[in-house]
Amino acid sequence: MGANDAANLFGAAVSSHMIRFWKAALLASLFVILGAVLEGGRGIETLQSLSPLNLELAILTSVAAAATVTGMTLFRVPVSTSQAVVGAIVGAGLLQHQLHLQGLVKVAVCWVGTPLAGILFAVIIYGSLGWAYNRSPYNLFQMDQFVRIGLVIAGCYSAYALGSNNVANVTAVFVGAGRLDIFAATLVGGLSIALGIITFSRGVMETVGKNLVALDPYCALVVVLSGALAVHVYTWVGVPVSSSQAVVGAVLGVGILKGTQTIRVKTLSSILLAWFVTPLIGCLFFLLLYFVSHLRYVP
Amino acid sequence: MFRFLFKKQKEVENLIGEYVRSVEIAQEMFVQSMENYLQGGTCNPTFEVLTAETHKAESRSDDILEKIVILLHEKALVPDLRGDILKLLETTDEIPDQFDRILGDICNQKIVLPESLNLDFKELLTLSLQACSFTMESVRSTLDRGERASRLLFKTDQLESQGDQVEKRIIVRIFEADWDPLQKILLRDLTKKMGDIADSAVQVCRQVNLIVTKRRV
Repeated sequence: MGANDAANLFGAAVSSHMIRFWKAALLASLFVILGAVLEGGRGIETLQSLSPLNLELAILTSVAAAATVTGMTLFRVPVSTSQAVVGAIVGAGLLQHQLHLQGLVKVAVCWVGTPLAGILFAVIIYGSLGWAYNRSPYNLFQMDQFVRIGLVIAGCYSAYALGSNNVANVTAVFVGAGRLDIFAATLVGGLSIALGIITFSRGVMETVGKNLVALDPYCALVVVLSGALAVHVYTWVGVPVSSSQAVVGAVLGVGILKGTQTIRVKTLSSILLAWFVTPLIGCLFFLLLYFVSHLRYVP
Repeated sequence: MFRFLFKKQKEVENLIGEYVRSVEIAQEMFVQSMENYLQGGTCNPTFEVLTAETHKAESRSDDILEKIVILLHEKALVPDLRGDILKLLETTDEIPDQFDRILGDICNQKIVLPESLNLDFKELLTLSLQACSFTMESVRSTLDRGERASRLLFKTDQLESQGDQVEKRIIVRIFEADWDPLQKILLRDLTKKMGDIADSAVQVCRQVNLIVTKRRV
């Protein structure tokens, strides 16, 4: 998970050589762990409340979510870990006829609200920061340096928001199964995401980040900051959401203000598709794994 | 406040200032050379000395530009701005190169300026050099992020249009005259090169305006 989402954190800064990959990876890891430990508890509580799980179901849920993310990534379909995990939990809930529907509706509403929050924050930040930017007494080079530092700070904040929001996807099911307490779950989850960032994020950071930089440094700063704020807001609500969808919303917001098409229709439709397809595949994977794990050899 | 953050930026800023000054020195030497040429109408020892001085100033501006390029590639600026500044300086560098080429051509090709063209050449020279002065002011204003860039572009553009008309008039007069065909071609090329100075000046002003406009939120 950390490997994929790291591009939204420091992609712009790394791909434009404002910060070296290793510095970015270490900063991102540190702030992901901090976010997870300090604020990751709410999301865990939400996910574990969706359906009661025993250890076997928790493991199957986790494996099904991982298989969904891996499979969809292999087929180059945009995927959200949060949606895959919730889909798998729904599978477990359906199997036990114990699904907390009210919680599920809250989660679904937040998913739809994620890109919308990205748009809203982008519009607000672009306007207010732009107002200050245009009136600042600093010259072109100095403003350039502010944007550069701003991108690194926004990357750190974004990592914090990611850790606080998405840690639930990693370990919530094990809290539900009674195997981890919330602090241990946030710590283990935070460390796992950090490991993903350090080991596998380099390529994604450099390639995906280039798309953000293509905007222009100021817009890239607005996008990273808006995406982070959108994710952080849902941390307070207690629902794990997709950081990529928050960023896409922010890019769209910048495009609306500038009167340009920053996002392809294909990207938007893939988000819509992901809202429905990812949880469905997660759910089906879970049921398949459950069926396979209960097959018995009869001689 | 925040001065400690801008060490490399300040270095680039100072070097750009130094570069503009060296281009201005090249321009002054070029003016003196051309005034000497317009008085005598041919290449003479004083003109050669002044040409060498102009070449020296042009080389110095190249050296400073080289330093700026290295500093910029040491990641002194965000890539987007770095690319824009490099492009701007490369375009600006066309101007001292043109000074050097014009003086070199006059010397090497032994171009003799007929007295009847003296006033027209003076007019073309004045327009082109005035455009250059606005250009240097424009390059200096790049960092200010103000409205000055568009005003200077407008003024330079006007001078370039006037220069075009004078250039056309000179070429018509050259080919109406009863001179040696080779001399006519040499004079036509010299006229065009003098007119090109104002064209380059406009290009630089356009880039400055673009850099400033792009960074207005």
